[in-house]
Amino acid sequence: MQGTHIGCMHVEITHKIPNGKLVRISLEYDTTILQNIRICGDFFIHPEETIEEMERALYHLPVEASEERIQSLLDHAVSSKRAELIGIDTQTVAKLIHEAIYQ
Amino acid sequence: MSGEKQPVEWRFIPLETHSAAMNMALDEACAHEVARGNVNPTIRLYRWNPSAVSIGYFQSLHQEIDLDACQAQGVDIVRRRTGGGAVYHDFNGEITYSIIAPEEMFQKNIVESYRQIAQGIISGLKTLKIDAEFVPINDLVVAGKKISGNAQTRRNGILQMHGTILCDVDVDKMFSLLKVPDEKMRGKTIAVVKERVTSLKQHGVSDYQTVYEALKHGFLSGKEWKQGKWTEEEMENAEILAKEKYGHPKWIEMR
Repeated sequence: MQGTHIGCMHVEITHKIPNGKLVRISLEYDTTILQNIRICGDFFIHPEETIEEMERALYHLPVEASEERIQSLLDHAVSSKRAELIGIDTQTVAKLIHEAIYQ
Repeated sequence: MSGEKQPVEWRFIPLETHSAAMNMALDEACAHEVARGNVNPTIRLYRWNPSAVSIGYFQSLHQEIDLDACQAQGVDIVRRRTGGGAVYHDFNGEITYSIIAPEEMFQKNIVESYRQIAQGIISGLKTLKIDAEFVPINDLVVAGKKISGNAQTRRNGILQMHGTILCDVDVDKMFSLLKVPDEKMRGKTIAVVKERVTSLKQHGVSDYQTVYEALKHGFLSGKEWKQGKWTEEEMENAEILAKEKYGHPKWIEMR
């Protein structure tokens, strides 16, 4: 973890999902909201542009959001695109984001 | 009229060499024409010149690739429209295939369709007396070591899958172009990959033409097929896509 400037934190997390793929999340947040998030890695999502929808769903998320809330926003983005995720799942991504903010 | 479907005739595009951007552009241009019914489902085998690194749709360019090293070694960089990991496509070290056809010709379940298409590689390698097996999600292994990685996308009713078969692997060269998740662990990461990756050369097959013929046979046996070439529309579209999409920083640096 490294601070970019006072009040804004930048975190990068790398996590290998057991029997799945490597997920690399970069996020920036200040004292109240998530400013920016990128979910990268060698997983598969069909259709691919669903990832942008998932990232958009978390834009300006309050930092105190629960893991369940994060997952439900991601699930909503996934179902709105009728997307299929392979080697990655919304539960793990939500857990990683939540932990990153609270670490 | 019996109502029975005519067997599908495949188009086979024999081994050709293009730049990274053009190779990816041809896949997309072909998928577009297959979707419109203008060309038959297509199987192609190809190589990359200059050698190139391709990254998956979801990967971060700066997290995965050492840009300076690629530039210094004259290695191209392209982002694929398929997910999956970073791949080093050495001009002499591998053969890439693409299979582009209507989705309904394959298993609906994505991992099962990987398995189905991988059978072409498995049966091709069998003719070289090499036993490969499919390991979900998207790998093929020989004696437990990876020899092929594959990736697919499904758009507009078309399944497009491409993958690479390692003929000769230089793990050190590969890692000189790639970043590793934890630089402090670079040495260990490379050692682990050396243990987990193999090539056809390590199994006694070193002639490129032999590998090519085996893969061609593996993919086409049991299918109706004709050798073909790109249509003018495909070439024109591909040239535009190579320039404006796959070769453009906006796409390459997208994530």
